[in-house]
Amino acid sequence: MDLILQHLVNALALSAVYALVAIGISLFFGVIGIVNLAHGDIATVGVFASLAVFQFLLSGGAMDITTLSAGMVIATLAALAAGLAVAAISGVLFYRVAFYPLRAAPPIIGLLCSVGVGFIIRESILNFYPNGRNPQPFPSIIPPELIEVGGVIIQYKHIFVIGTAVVVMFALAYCVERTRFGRAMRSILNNREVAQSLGVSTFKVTVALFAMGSALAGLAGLMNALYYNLVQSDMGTLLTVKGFTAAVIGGLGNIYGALLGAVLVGLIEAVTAGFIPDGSAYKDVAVFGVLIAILIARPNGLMGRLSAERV
Amino acid sequence: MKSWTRTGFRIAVIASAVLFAGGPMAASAQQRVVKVAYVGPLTGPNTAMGIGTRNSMDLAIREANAANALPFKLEMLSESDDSKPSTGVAAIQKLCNDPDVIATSAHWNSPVALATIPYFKQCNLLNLVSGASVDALTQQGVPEMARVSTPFGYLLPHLAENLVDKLKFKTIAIVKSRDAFGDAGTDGFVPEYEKRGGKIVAVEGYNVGDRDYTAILTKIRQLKPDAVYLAGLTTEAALVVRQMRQLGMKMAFVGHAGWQTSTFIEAAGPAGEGAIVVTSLPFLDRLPDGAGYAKRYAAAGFKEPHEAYGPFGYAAGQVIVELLRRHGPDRKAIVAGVRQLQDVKTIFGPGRFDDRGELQPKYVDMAVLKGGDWVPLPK
Repeated sequence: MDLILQHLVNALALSAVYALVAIGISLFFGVIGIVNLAHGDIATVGVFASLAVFQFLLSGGAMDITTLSAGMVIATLAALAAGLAVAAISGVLFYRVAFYPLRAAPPIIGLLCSVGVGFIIRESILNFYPNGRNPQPFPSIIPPELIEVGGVIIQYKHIFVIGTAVVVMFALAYCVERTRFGRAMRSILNNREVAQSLGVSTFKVTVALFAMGSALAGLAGLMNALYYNLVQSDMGTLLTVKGFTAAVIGGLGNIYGALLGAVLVGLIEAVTAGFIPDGSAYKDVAVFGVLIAILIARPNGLMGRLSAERV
Repeated sequence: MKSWTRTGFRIAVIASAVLFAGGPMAASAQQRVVKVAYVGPLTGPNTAMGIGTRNSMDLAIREANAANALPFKLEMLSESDDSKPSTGVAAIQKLCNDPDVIATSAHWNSPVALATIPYFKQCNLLNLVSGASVDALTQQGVPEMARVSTPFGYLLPHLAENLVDKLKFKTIAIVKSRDAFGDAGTDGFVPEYEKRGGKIVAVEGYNVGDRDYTAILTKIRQLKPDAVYLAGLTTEAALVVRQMRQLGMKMAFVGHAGWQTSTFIEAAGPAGEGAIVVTSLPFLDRLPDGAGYAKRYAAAGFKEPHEAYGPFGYAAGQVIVELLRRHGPDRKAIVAGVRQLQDVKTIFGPGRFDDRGELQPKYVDMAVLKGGDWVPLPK
């Protein structure tokens, strides 16, 4: 039993990160009709911006900063804020420079464009970030201590990652359901033309959405970095694949679907790797098998409705 | 006056003839450039290894040029295989098509090296391997394949012997990359370990690029092995040992030279302390020319460290220079000559090539990560 619970805890930590990526991918698709395959790479940009601030403020000092001091708190807050801000700005720039000029082009062109942007980001970090060719340690700001409950090990990292994701999800739900921006966004999701005729500035809302979604990706990247304490230029590729899968399982265009999809992906991975001998070989097979099965039964994903409404 | 004019005219004619005929010949002899190449991970996750090895081979080539060791100048080319077989094949095809490229040292990753063997064979180009470790590279009867580095066949029996007899690790869980490299690191180790009475309690594979190992480590934690053996490369090794410690797994972390890198030390942080590896990577102070190599490498102005495989890249450069000295810039002659080389001097001291194309003797040692540095495992 404790083994099952342990795998559940591990799975939820994975799901939390996937969910933040999946929501951005899902919302972007809902609003501009393009799958953004550079979304995970935007997260990587945020992570490396944060790492740069850490490295600058710590001046090559110890990267394990679990002792509390005013300087460390300031460094940590500055680095994390920089990561989120740079991810948000990168996302907006990406939209304005790459997606916006292609808004009248077929979606496949936008998708290819996002693949290209992803390549550019990865190669730029590889070649221009100091020592960017190697994996680099990311500062440990979360205490390494463990809590053991009935044989189940819960790390502070688990609590931090899952807790942060839950808080962000509630904030996001509030934003989408209760704010003016959320209403505008939902109106575009439901019917872009009607929203425009009612005076909704689709450009402004889309820019704001890219800022928010990219900041969420940045947060996912930072949580990933803080969880594994190791970052590398291609870390975003995996985030994109998992986030996209979760978004499709849940139903593209639906944030609650993205959340559900992320939980499912995390659970399937953990269960397959944890309970089948040499199961990590099959975890992706299992995830994509479930994806195919769900799409056969529900072509728009578990909670998808966007495509049906558009038709 | 007339005679003087005639003599002057003759001199002018002869001088012109010399200039037109002999000049270009002399110039071509002076300017003839022969190309040698390094192909390895100059981009991608193992870049540090590739660059350190490339730089070291380049150092040997620069030294040969500076010493006028050959009647022509050597030009060092380098291509990245990105640790991917498809990219490696494209790089080798490019070099094959350049007739001025006479010899190469290619690939740090075994799957890449395995994939390019047919292409080396097709164009009679020597691949003097300076990194890839699977034994099969020189066991397929392909004369174009030779190696200066140490393959698994020498490393893994030594590792098994040390783990069982010296360190008394009787049970081991294996975490391996799911590719030719991980397979070779496992298949070569398991029979040697079991033969000595050790017991393998789990073999768990992962896909290169995975970041989360908590599911398989949680399983292994229940089995309480004496050690976890990682048959893979640096990034995954660093992630696995970090996640082991985060899960409260205090058992030993062991492996081979595939992740015995300075990047592992940095990436694993304190979690990597105490890691034990079997190594083919020489401690420079134990090599005849180790100190001199380190000094010359530093003086050459390379921005990147030579990394653990640097000495093999340097040795590859030394052997290629020696082959060119003996056989000239001829691909077939170079390939035929490598196994005949019975008295070559490299950074490792006097050596010879066996009939498989392996430089002998092979260097094998045990190392432990202590105080943030790889040091010899105490005897």
